[in-house]
Amino acid sequence: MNRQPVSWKLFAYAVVAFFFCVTIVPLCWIVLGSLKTNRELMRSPFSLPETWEFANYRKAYLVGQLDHLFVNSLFVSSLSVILCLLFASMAAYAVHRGGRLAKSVYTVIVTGIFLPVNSLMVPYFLIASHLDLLNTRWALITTYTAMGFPLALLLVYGFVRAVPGEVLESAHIDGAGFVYTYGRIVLPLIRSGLATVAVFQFMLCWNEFLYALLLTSDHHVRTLQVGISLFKSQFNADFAAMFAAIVMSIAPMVVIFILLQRHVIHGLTQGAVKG
Amino acid sequence: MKSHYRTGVLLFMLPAAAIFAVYFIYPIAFLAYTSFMKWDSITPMEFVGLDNYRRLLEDRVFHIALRNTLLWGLFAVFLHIPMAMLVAMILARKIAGWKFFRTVFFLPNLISTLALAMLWQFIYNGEFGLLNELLRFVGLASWQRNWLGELDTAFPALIAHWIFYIGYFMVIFLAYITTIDASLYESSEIDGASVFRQDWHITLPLMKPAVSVAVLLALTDTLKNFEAPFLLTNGGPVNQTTVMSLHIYNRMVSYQYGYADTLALMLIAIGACMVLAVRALFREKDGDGRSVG
Repeated sequence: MNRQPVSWKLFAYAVVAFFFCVTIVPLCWIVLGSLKTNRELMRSPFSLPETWEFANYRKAYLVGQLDHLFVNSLFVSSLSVILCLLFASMAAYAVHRGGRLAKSVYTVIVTGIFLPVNSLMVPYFLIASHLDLLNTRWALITTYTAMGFPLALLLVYGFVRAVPGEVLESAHIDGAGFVYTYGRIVLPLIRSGLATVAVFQFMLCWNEFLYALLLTSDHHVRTLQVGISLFKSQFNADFAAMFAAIVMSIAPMVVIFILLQRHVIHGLTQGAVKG
Repeated sequence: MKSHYRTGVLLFMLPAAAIFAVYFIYPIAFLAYTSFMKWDSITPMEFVGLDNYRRLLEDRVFHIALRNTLLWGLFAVFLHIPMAMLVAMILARKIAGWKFFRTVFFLPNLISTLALAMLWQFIYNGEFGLLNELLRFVGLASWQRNWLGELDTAFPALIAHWIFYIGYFMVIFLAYITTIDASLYESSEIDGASVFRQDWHITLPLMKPAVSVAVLLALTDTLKNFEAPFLLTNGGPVNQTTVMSLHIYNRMVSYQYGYADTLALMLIAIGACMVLAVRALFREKDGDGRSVG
């Protein structure tokens, strides 16, 4: 299947080249822009920078308070991932061992995947306010954990179900209890599956904007996405520095992805194909 | 061995059940309840019967939001996904550099929708934006405009900012294609089938389960659309680019909680209809395989 006619090859490369340009040109443009002076950006936004203005990055880091935003986003995302994985793996294990009732509860929870969670703005706001969490990072941690839970449960259950019944049975014969089997046998067996789910949940938390906007307002608890949305007012007309701030806020995910590429792509496709 | 685990099962299900009850069941019941109320979140609720629903019929912004949301979904299903499929089929033939292209096409998925919107705001910028600059470069200076500010370009610009980022679905399709039995292609090659015919007659029909998953995911994403309209146009000019989520948000921040909840209920209903329609559509013929959920 590797001998393709020339006409097909031309067509194929034309298509790929088109999508390549649409993807890469904007990214290059903003990186180049972040290295220019504002005057140059306005005058010739399209050229290579005359002098490379790395000072933009320093300014962007300070004005944008990026360190702060990163720490908050990382804290929220990590804790939500941990909680989500913990509860989802517990439930998945219980469903696997439980009877019909547990299975039907599972089926109901999993339909939550299709619920457009954006519609729950008012209730989620009220829940956070009743729990006295408004304007704290815990408002986001709890909300994100809940938002990602149905998908996490579906995925984790897929992995738990694949644990051979004989393994569980022999554990039982050896006298392992319910909790021990979960912690010492099931969890280690589904470790790579959990990593996949962690990727999903982390990306959900890291990129979420609407609820971060609704549930927090204080700059101490602000996450990266809310921070980015405020760049416009923070940087005013200093577009070059703003470009630098945008580049810096995007860069970590891109770098991590390129390093862990195989796992991430594998994880995401596994999830989608399973889901 | 089942019965002595009953307490264990119960205990382990507890957090999941609690999360679902508090964050899914209660909110939906709450939306349904408050959709019959006039409520500004400060003074007590007041029962107004079907007033909020009547308002839906007259609310022009709701009609535009509904139209835009559905249009967005149509673009996702009939343009975005086919493009992803096309590229996946091409890369699946292992053209030179296919791994590199796969990485590049996937990159935008790592950038949040918000940061992408921010980026495109500058691309569409009337003064120094990339798009206008490119048009001048190729001698089409007369086409330059304030893309997000003008009535007839704002919504297309909004659609265009995302539609070519096909990476996610491309990766899903690519993974799926590799599971197709290679001997199918070999035998069809002996029969003299062209590459196009192979993709059309072999790959595409076998991709049906992946397509159904992709369509569902794309539609659910459509309904969650908020960041781009919020940041790029904020629904303007004159509400022409608003979408359901943005309309709900705007009603909420102007303290019309009752009406915001009615709109939210509509969004859930649209989502449910879409899911049922897609499942019915894809089950219709061979009713096979791995459907979602």
